[in-house]
Amino acid sequence: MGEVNLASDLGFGTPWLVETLTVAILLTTGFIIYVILSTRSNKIRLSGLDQAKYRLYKYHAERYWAIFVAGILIWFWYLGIPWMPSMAFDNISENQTIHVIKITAGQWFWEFEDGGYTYKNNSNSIEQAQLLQENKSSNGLKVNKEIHVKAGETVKFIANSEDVNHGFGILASSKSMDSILMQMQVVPGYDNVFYYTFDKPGTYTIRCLEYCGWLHPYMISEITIHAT
Amino acid sequence: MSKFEFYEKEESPIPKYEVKKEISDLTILFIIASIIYFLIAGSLALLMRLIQSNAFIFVNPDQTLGLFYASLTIHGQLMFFGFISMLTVGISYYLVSKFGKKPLFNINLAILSFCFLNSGVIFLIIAGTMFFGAGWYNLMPLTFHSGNDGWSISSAVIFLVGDVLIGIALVMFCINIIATVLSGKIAAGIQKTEQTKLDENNNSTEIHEDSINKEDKKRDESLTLQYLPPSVRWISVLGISSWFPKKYRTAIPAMSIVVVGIFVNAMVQFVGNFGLFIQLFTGFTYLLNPDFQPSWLFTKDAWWFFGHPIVYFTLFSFLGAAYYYIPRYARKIISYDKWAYRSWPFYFVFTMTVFTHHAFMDMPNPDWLKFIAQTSSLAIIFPSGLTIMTIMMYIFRSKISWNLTSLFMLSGIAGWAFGGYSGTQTGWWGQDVYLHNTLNIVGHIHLTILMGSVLFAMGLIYSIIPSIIKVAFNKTLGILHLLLTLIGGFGIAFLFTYLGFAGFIRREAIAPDEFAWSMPLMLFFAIIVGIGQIIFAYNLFNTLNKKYKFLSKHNTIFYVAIISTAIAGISHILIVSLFMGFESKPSIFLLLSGIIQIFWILPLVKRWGRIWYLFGGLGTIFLIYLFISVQFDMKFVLFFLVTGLAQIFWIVPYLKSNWSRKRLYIGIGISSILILSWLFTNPPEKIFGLDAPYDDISMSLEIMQVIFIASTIVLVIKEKDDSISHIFQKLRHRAR
Ligand code: HEM
Ligand SMILES: [Cu+2]
Repeated sequence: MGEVNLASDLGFGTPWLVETLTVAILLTTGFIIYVILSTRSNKIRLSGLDQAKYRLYKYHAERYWAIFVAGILIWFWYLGIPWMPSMAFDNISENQTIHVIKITAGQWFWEFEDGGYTYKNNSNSIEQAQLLQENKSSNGLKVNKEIHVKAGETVKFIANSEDVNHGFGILASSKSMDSILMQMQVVPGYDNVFYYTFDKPGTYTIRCLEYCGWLHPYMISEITIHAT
Repeated sequence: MSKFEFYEKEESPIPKYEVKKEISDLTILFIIASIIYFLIAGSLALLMRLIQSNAFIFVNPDQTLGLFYASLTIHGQLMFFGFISMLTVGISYYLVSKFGKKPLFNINLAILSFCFLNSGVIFLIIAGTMFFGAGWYNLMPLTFHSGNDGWSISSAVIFLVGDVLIGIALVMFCINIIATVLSGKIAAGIQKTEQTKLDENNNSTEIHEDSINKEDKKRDESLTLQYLPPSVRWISVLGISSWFPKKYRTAIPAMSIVVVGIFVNAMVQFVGNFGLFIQLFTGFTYLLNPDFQPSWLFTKDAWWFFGHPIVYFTLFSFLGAAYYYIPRYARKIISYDKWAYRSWPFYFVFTMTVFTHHAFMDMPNPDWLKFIAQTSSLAIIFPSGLTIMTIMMYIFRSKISWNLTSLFMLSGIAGWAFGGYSGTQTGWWGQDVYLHNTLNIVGHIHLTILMGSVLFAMGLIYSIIPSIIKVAFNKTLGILHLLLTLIGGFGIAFLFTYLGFAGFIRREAIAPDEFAWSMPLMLFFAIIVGIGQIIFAYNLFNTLNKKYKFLSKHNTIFYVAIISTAIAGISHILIVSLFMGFESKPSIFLLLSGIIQIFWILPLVKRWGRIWYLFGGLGTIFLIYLFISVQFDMKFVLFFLVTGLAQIFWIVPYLKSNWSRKRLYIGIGISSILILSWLFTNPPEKIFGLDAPYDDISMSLEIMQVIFIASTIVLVIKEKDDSISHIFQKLRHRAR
């Protein structure tokens, strides 16, 4: 996989998602193998009565297991609270300068309104989409115009949809697909709001993340972050 | 081998209750139907993999995209409804009767649920052939706004009607199960076997064989038919009593854990179905009145109120059964185990509230909903953790016999646990924001369902079918099935999961260059798992055939002929759909005739008699007449439609083997003419002045024709009987 960014490196949530999942899977596999091997033990007598289970009962093994699982889950739950959107966005104080970017999504375009300036990136048929692709750099689809933001400033994205559900997603690099920095659904009939602060300057791919019809894979644009 | 042949003969108590033949027959029908849909939906998965690997099926790239999304949509819903829900419903009927020791509340309702479920699924497939592709969760209003040149409104309507029928079938199922459990007497009382002596007598670890055998006998009688007052019944069947202190726990008659699982399943789904109906109602209202402005957010929430329970629907019945079958093969005492029951109240509550995590990324949803989502997502892990540990403890240090059932179930536990971990990760908002709508979620689905529920279900099939028909499966094929499924299934599911971490977005018809390396791997695993399922289907049908003898060598050739000509006929209609769309009068006509034709299978399969087939023949002629009287300017379309319909109906003479040998010659003749005319209508020669399609569909269609002709020739050679058709004899007889 090389130098791909992994979701866990990016900000919200617990780090090391890949590692924790892998370790959990390996541990469980080990446990299952251990249990399977235990069935080959010589000590077992073929009987209707279960010695092993009896011992576990004796020591209330499953009671402690239940308490353990419940404990971990409650801990997780507590950990997760600050990352809930309402909590996470509460930190944004009103006197902070906020860069507001209005987004309109539709089949199949992104339209950005960045203080008076509007840009529409449209592809209504696969031919048009392929034409766009002809101007591409090595990274896949590119458009001529992007939105510009400074690193470190808080951006308030307000997204609306003209037709169906879309998903507004910013990826971690300018590659046509990479880990997701942030995303939200663009539900028609609502103002969908997400706050985000970019740390690193660079160009980031914008992609539709909710399937919205046949040309959904072509709903791409980008955002450029400048150093302050 | 002999030990393996009849699971029933192993020493282990199974309720000594014979399930009525009508129920077990129905269960077998459900199983057969589900496996057929499984194969179809699986082929669609392969098709998706091919398209993502840059195999363009159509000359027009838009259509290839359309094919991908139609396959995706039908794969998802067919797997859910045609395959695994079909299995859940069919097997639950059998198990609830076996372990409740009573017949179903209403067998006719059960048969009706089979009909509704199957017709609904067939509607889905029809919508798929019309390129309907709004995704399995059918996120409105996309259903009605396909964008430029996408699927038609008629295809959306057919799809929604299919979902309505499926919803009704599910309601019928739930009502039937709930009524079976709550009405009259039911087998209960197993809590009496709780091991009182052992908890107190700490030193005694050694128990003598004699006393064990006595207990074994007692256990057989531990489930007796009894009438429980409603309050006791509810507390018992939801597993609540298992949390009571011992004194009260042992006073409340407990039902079999299998019944508990199935009942919780039916209750949750009964509630969840309302979500589906709200979504469908909103959709139809919007369709009839475009000014109607529903809250699409609410509609989405409503769908998931149904959509999450349907995920657990695929699991709970089988999980309840696993609690019984695993200790049974582990040869452990199946005494009342409070820990087996303790998960179920949690499953019951949290399955109904956990749906909100599907709407995590919908910012306008109220915060309290997100809070419920996060809480329930973590909360539902609690009973799952208990279940996994309890079942593992049944296996721990037991003399388990590793037959196909126990192997599949153990693998199912593994897949479900792995899927559970990945679900734990996405169950937090702060992590879902990175993983939502990536392949990670798809990995999670396939781990929990394909490598969880489906493996449980297959384990059950390996046990239930032999116990119904008293014929054993081929064990070697079974082991092969297991190995291929494990390699391919875990392979593709883990790939999905980890590619998702790296940012591979789901539902992308075009794989990006960044991930091109993963495509051959995915295709490889998909093919491996596919081969495994074909082996399974072969093993299943072969085993069933030993009992029902529907696959004699002679019949097989008939089936080949029937299927090839049917596919050829359907593809002819498909070509029409690609050329003319479905927005006109002819489209309605096609729809009606298509549906009628599908129902026409019934008299054929049931062999109602020749007079019905004559009706069918005349009916088809009438359909063709109707078709001609509807205005068409495309002679070409007409030609293919007529020949298509004719070919589909050509099934009839094949099924009725006492039609004369002439039919075979006619069949060969007509198909040859069709192939010739196809050749002639293709460039450079154009007979009708229109371009004939020269794409993959029509090519495969012609291959089908060749297969058809070949099998027909074999039939001609083999079949000595040259008497004139009885039907004409009879007609002549009547005429006199
Ligand atoms: C037999 C082996 C199977 C294979 C090879 C397979 C493969 C696939 C593939 C390639 C996708 C598309 C992923 C994407 O690009 O978004 C997919 C999606 C999906 N599959 Fe499977 N699948 C299998 C079995 C199942 C089963 C048993 C179920 C459930 C009962 C299932 C449910 C789904 C669902 C719900 C989706 C998402 C559809 C959507 O996004 O609308 N699959 N599967
Ligand atoms: Cu979109």
